[in-house]
Amino acid sequence: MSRALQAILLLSAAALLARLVVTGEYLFYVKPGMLPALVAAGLVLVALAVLAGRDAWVEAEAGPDDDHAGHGHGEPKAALLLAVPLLTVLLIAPAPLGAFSAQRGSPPPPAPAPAGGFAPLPAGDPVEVTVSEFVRRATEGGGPTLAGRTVVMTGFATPNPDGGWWLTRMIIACCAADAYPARIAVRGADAPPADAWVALTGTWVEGTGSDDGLLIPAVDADVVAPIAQPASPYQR
Amino acid sequence: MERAAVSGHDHGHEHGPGGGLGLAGPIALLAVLVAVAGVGSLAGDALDGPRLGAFATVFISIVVQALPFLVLGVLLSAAIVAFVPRELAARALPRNRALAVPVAGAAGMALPGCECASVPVASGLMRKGVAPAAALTFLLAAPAVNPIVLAATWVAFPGRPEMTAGRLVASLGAAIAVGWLWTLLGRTEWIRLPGGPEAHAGRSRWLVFRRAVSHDFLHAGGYLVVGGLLSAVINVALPPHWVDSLAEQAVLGVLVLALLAVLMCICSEADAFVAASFTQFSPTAQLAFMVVGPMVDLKLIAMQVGTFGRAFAVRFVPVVLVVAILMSVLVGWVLL
Repeated sequence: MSRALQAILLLSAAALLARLVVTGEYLFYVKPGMLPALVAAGLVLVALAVLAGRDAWVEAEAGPDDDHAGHGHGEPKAALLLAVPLLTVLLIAPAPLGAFSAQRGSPPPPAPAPAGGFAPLPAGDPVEVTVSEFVRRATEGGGPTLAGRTVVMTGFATPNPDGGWWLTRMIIACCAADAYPARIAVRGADAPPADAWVALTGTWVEGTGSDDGLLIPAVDADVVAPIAQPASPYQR
Repeated sequence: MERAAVSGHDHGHEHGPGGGLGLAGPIALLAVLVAVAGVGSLAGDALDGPRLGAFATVFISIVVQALPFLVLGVLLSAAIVAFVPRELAARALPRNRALAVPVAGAAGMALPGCECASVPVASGLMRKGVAPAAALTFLLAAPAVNPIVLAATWVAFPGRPEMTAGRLVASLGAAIAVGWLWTLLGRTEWIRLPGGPEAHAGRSRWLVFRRAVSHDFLHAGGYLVVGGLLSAVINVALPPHWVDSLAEQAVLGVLVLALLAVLMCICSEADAFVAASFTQFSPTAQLAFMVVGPMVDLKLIAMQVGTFGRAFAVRFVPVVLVVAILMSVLVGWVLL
């Protein structure tokens, strides 16, 4: 494998990271805390590519030196595959996991309620909560902190294969490969198209979530307003 | 041109560039074909947007998540190769090999990296003359039992500290058992380390260092992509809930979750959350998922073929898999 080709492969790995960081699309793949690590790795790869490129240049000028006759140390051809991720991002528009994955995934049981029960939700009418927080409060401890409160939550629409639709959000621990969905069954509103992002204002349907074993609480929708996809589509 | 260059190189070094060379083309081709065929043959709506999109997202996320750790790993490995004196590397571990193995396992607890970092580091240690048994124990233990992983397990299984304890004991036990097995039965000639920039005496340490970094990164990186492609196909191709029906059976449940751990390629820092989602399975099966995953998965197998050669991987991977499963069952039986 020529040094020039090595430089190109190193550069393509760096270009992948650069594109994802500059556009903010890295948030479709990994957790926000990975940003410094991605930048650092990208800089190292750029430096390696520049040095490999300089080697190629020097060797081309000077003629092959004795033991580096224009090639490296037998990098396997599998190294060519380092260009595939960049090509993938260029050919298939990056998008966060959506309804397809939300239908298939199965969430772990939410973390149990704190020892003294949940603290009341903050003041506000409606009060903003995350989808996973809503699920946790409804399924662990029977949801007294949700009763009588109007909440507003952002998520995307996922058709329920058995009819109706869910308000969903994908939860990740590290990267999208370990994502699982948090789901809330929506009542009293027509289904938006799959993957459409919405802000839903509504109230918890009392008793749902803990009784059915599926851990999917229900919400009575007052308003379902379309919104833009948030920059950070996953929640922790 | 490429072929000539490669075979010329093969004759030029004692430690050839590894089984990776003969195998790389076929493996790469196979991976691409499997990926294309897998995505293409799915249902009638072969290239439907959502499935292809999910495939691409999972694939890229595995690669992007792993890249910083791989870069860190090859920097460490190259630093070991270029700057650590041979005597120091040899002296850091007890001379007695049987004793060096558990010490290496304990050392693994201190490196908070993921499995992508530990493959090049183990290779660097071996090139510096550390006994393969100890380096391999480190390779297995480092991603499995470091503090970050144990903390994540603690959080993922609230109120069940025995899961964290079981993971620590079973993973460390499996890593040490494999190291001892290697001491008894392993042959150094199975391992074909990437022919190294180290071979060129007289070059400056800096040159050795930066050549080793590029070299190791290209070696392991291509194979990382192979693992990511395969795992992403699995992610979108398996029917949802296919494993649920198998959860009831005790033995089969353990084997199924161990197999899933191999196929899913989840980072050791995140796999506890996924393990916790398999609520229908026995705690022992969940433990097996967490013990097997950081030691054997598609991405790791691919990277080990690339770094240590095929002759090594076909022996090492099955042994580790069996030992990890047995150790999970043993610890699950006693502890869970």
